[in-house]
Amino acid sequence: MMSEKKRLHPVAMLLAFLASLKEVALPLIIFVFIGRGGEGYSWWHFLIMGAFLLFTLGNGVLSWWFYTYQIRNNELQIHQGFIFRKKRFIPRERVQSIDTSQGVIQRIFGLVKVQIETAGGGGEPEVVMSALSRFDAEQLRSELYKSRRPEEAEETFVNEPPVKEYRLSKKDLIIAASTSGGIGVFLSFIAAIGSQVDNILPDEFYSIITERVMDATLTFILVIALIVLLLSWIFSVLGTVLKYGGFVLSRTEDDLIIKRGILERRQLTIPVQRVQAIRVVEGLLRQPFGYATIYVESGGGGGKDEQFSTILFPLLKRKRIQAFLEELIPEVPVHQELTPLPRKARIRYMIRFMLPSLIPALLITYFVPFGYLSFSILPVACFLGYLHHKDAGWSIKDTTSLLQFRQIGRVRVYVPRKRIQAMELNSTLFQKRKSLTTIQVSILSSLAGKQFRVRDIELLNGHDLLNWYSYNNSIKKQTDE
Amino acid sequence: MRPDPSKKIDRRGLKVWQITGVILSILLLGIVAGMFSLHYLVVKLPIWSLVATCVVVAVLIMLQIWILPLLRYKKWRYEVSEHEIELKHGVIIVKRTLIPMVRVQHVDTRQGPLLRAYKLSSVTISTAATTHEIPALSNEVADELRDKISVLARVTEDDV
Repeated sequence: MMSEKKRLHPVAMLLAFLASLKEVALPLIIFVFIGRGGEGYSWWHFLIMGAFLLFTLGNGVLSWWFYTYQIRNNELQIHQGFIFRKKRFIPRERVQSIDTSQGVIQRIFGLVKVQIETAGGGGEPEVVMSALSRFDAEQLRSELYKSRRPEEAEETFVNEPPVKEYRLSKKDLIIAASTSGGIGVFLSFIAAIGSQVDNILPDEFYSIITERVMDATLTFILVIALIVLLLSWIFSVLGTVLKYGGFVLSRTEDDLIIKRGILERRQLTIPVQRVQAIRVVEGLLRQPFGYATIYVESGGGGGKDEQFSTILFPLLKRKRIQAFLEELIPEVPVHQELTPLPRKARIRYMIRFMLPSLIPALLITYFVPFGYLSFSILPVACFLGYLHHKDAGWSIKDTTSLLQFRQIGRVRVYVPRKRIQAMELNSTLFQKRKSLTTIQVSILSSLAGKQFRVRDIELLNGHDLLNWYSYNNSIKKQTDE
Repeated sequence: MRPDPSKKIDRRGLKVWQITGVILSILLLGIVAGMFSLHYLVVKLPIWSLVATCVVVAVLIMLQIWILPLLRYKKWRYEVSEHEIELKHGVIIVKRTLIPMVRVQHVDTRQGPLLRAYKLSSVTISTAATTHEIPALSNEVADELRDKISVLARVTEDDV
């Protein structure tokens, strides 16, 4: 048992200093360059700058000194702060995941950053330790995970050998990167920069550009648009390669371990016991080539870009998924069978897509010449509805439920019965008339909870699902076997 | 078909919803009064807009005071067995919820001033991912239900 109080590695001071410098970088630059009058720097400039630097440094040192952690009474106890004292105690059983990562500075010093997550509590990890030596991090990890297997508590420092490793090949990485669909993100990023440029560039520049654009032919505008698209695509490819390069997934007896990243190495450990659901997503660009991404929903972990879940494997042939999951996580049995939606639900899907485009189309037709052309969007909406209907479905096999639906890409979610927090059937009056219903399954996720739903399944099937989930039924099944 | 849950909520809940409806209706009438005073004191509004507002408000008031509370009360069903909680409610969207006892994290009873005046409480059931409410039970029933669920939920099979 680790009982003495420990501090982070002293490099944490440097990191804190840099972090606060980054925060004030902009005001500082303005202060230095714009604050300077005609006659150069005066003594008070230096005074303020000096005081500021001293304060930041002192703050870094003091925060480091007052930040201690220890494991006592089966809890991770963290004390921090010197003006506002903060204590955070986390029971061992509540730790959902422990991630390590290495930024550039951690790499230089051979250290790691440790992030500890508990269930719920939103996007930010509950504990962030910016710099620990590898030894300390490993010790902390094994101490925190020890309680799960009390009989093997002795072998704490040895990492159990991984049963099997799965690597993402270079070719697959490139495919994953070029079909990542992160284009949208980068486009909005460029748009954001563009809107900032507004404030910096002089007005004359603007009027020149506007004149040019007015004069420009359609081809010119198209070329510009293409270039912007291409650039954002290249950036998104680069971003994905940096993030998922060197991807290695391994399975030990109790854990899934994911290592990834080229500049910043990250290591995520997900206890298999904490896996809530497995999500297979076939993105719009990947589906035609038969590729999919596998996500794992666990109590903690995952950033906004991964919808608060974790990428278990970035790219895999659809055909290989079944075998891959069976080998990797036999605890969550998966199957392929799927009950499609009834035919009578198709029209509802089409209407659901057409209605939102109908009203703008009507308005445009009324106000804009040739506005009726906008009605050409209706067949597209119709087709989307058709696709969403075609790809939706559900099934249950033994103790696993499968929900399939489309959210741009095609999504398949496997949820074991004991991971479902609550099951709900919602029927609107219209659905009731056709005896249809919407099934909704809630699971635990790092962001309070997550809901998966399939609309317009047969009402009787909805009741089948409820019965399958119901306690009485699961008992009956067990006694039958 | 799975049988519906059997228990109904307290009839006094209907009264509480009707009173809430009356309060909302007074606000709506305030809007109508505002429009009419605008019409007579400041600027003439087209007659059809006044009539339309009156009709819409009349319908809304009917719905709020009379129809919706009654339907809501009639549709509410719940059942708490040893192993699970089942709810069914909703007028326009019928919701049917199944919560296994082992998934319940905690259970509360609450009451606002209106509920308190009628000696009613609502019971709120939380899982790790969701929250569910049974509105308007008599204080005794609510307390009993809360204690029962809390005892039953203590038997956890495995941790999340």
